[in-house]
Amino acid sequence: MATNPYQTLGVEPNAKQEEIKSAYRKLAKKFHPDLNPGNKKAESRFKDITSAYDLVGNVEDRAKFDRGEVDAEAAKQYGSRQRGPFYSETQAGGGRYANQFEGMDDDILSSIFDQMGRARSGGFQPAPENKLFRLDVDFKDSVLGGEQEIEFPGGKKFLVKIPAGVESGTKLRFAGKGESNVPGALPGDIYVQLNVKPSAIFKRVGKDIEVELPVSFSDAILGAEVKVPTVDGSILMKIPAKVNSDQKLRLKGKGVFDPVTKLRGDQFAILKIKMPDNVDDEFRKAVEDWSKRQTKENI
Amino acid sequence: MINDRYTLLEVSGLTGLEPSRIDAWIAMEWVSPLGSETLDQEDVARLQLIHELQHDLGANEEAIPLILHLLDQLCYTQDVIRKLKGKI
Repeated sequence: MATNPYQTLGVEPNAKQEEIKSAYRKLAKKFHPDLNPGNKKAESRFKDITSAYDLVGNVEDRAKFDRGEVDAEAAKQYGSRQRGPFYSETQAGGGRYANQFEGMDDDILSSIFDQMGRARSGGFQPAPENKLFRLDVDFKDSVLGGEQEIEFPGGKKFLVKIPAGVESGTKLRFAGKGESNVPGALPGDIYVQLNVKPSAIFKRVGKDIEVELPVSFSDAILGAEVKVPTVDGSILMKIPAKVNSDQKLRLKGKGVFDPVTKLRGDQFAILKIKMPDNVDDEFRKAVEDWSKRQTKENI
Repeated sequence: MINDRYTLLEVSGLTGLEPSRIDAWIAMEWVSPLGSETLDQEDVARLQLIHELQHDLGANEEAIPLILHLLDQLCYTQDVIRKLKGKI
C-alpha cells in the first residue's frame, strides 16, 4: 500500500480537487468489492483508496493533511476505515435479496441451453421475463391463509392464494403466469413477495400468538369467564380466581399454522388487571379493613 | 447467518445516513426490511452500498435499482455456479 494518499489515488500533490474526486471515482468503480465479489485484492485496494480519499477528498481535510496536522491520526486510521461487511458478502451463500431469484435455476439453465440450441439452428427466442410484485397481507390471512386479488400494471388481475402460516418476506412463485412484452418470448414467472401488516390486537411470536387481555379487579380476585379475541373469532375462556397481571393463559391450537408439522401453535392471553374507574366508599372501606387484617396477620 | 437487528436510529448511527433518507430508500423499495420496525445486517450493507453508488461512484437515481437488481442476480448466479462446481 502506498503511504501517500496522492500516490494511492494516482494524482499529483498539487492536483485540483476535481481531479482528485475524478481519480477516486474511477478507482472506486474499478475496485469496489461489491462490483468484484469475492476478490480480496480488490477489497484491499478499495479500502486503501477510500482511506486516501478520506484524507484529501475535501479542501479542509486536505489542507490539514498537507500541513501535517493529521499525520498521527492518519497513520492510525489509514487503511482501516470502519465499516460492516460489504453487501456482496452478506448475499454470498444465500442472502435474502439474492435469493429472490431462487427457483429460477432451472429457468436460467434451460434458458441458456435453449438459447444455445436455437443459436446453433439459426433461430433466436428472447428469454422469458420474470416479475416481482409486493403484496400487503392482513395478519389473519397470514395465520389462517386466504386469497387476495392483485392488479398488475396494464389492468390484468390475478388471484393470489396465501398459504397459512406465511411470514413477511415470503415469496410465492407462479410459473408461466407473467406476460411477455417482447414478441416471441415465452411468458415469464410472477413472484409475489408478501408483507404481513401488523395487527393492533395480535402479536406473532414464532408459531404462537400473544394478545393482551384486560381483566377487571373483581374478575381477577373471584375468577370469571371472559371473551377472548382469536384469529378464528372470539371465544369464552375461564379465568381462575386470584390471577396476577402479566400472567399468561394458554389457548391450545389457536396460534399460527406450521406447514412442517401441519399443526397450529398456541395463543397466549396476557392478563392485564384494570382498577375500577370509580371507587365508592363501601369498596374503599372493604379494602381498608382487608389491609388492616393483613397488617395484623403479618406482625 | 447474521441475525442482529437494528432500529432506524441505530442504522442511522452506523451508516451516517439521515433516517429520512433511509425511509425514502425503503419507500422506493431499494431496501426491503423484513420487519416494519427493524433492519438486519443485509439491509444495512445494502444501504451502505446505495450510498457509495450515489455518493462515491456518481450513479444517478435511475441507475440504482438496475445496478441492485443486476448485483443481486450476479450474487445468486455465483452461488448457483458454486453449487454446480461442488456437484461436478
